[in-house]
Amino acid sequence: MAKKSLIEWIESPPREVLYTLLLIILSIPLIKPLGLPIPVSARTIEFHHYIETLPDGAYVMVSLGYGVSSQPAFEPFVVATFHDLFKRNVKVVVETTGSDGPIVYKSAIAKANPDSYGKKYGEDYVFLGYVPGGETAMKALAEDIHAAVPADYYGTPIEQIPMLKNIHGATDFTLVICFTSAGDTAVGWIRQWVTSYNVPYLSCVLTMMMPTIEPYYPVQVKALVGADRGGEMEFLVGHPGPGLKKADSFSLSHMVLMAIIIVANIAYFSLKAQKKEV
Amino acid sequence: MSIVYRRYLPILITFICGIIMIIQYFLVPPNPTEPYQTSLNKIGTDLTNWTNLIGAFTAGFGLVNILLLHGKHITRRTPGQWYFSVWLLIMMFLMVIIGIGGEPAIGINVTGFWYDWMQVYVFGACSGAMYASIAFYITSATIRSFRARTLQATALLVIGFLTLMSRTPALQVYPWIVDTADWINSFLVKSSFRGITIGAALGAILLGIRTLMGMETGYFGRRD
Repeated sequence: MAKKSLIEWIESPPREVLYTLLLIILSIPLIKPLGLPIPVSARTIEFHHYIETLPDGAYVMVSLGYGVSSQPAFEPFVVATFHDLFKRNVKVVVETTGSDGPIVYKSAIAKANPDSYGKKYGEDYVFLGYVPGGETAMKALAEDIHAAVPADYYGTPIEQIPMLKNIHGATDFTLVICFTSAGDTAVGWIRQWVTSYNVPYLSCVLTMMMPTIEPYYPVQVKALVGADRGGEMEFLVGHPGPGLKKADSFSLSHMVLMAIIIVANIAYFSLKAQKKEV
Repeated sequence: MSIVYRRYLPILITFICGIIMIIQYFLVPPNPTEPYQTSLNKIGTDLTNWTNLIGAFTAGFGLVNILLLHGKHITRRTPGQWYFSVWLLIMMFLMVIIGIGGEPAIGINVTGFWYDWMQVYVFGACSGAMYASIAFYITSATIRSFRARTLQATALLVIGFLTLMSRTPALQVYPWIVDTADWINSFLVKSSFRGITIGAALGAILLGIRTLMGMETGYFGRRD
């Protein structure tokens, strides 16, 4: 096999080199944050503003539709949102549409630490656990929470949970927030809670999923953000955490990737010009 | 088995349940007042809860299916596969045993710690690593595909590059980058996906009608 010239090597760099380079540039900011500028995007401000303007005593349904595999992507945003909610006088009902949801809930709620806000389980927030059935589960919750989930995750009957005594279904909620890595879940809440009951809906999805949810924004989805904006949300709620560290990683890796794309294209055109000359 | 049981009865059940759900979704308001609305709502709620119960029950079927499929690999000693199947079954039963023992809802929360430990430090770590590895493949694929070879490839390069810039936190200090990406999202992406969504919805309506009419029988499963 003929040896590659330098320009050919730049035009199509070996995978091993790319992977090593990426690993290094992703790791550096996680070990030592660089403090690159992180302006807060309008979408994240919109998301935060919606929570900020919730009336006292409002009931908020939070759906964790992601699993442990995408936990690093979502958790900074989820924890920041919990902080944002617990700061206010609102009631938070959490459920998951993924079987490993209870694990991600326990991790996020431990980091948000509702006790530090004086919030009590059962009075200010409750966890319903994993509700199987996907979109039919959302419909069941909307129609009658007591029939759909007779007990919370810890086995306490719903009737014995003070904050849920007078709550029947979607009509009692002021807002639904969904964090999900599944397109069906994000759209399912629109069909079962927004279209049927007109409950305002905020959605946080994997960034690559955003184009598929974009058609519903801003009518059915009041605020739509990518999970990579966790650092911005942490900044807005005043609880800096791993999301801000990751923002540096994103910035650095994206800029290196863009530089490689530009250089590889220059190399491609010089190779093309060389071939023409020959 | 008679054709009545094999074909007509499932179609009849599908038709009745489907019609009830359609009527309940489109005709019953969020706060029903009329007696017929309350009754329809009750039936719809019951049917929805049945679906959730059946959905949960199918996890058991999945377990049996995995057991049969991988049991065959083990008994036949399928080359390059059987030892993975053994490992899969060991882990599956281990998680089932720990999971049942760690289910607080049934009051025997003796091994909840181990279930969480397995989920976070074994399953979580493995699936997180799998998911994160995509970043490396995507980087390599992006560098190779973002090449201005043709007009279409150049369009992909320009749009992709702008999107990449707009998702770079440090570059958001330049408003034109965010504004351009927003314009692409609000006009090009939104209109394209709305077209796709409407097309898919029309297809779903047709499929629904065909299913209700008994013309679509794929959900019956394998024919004997």
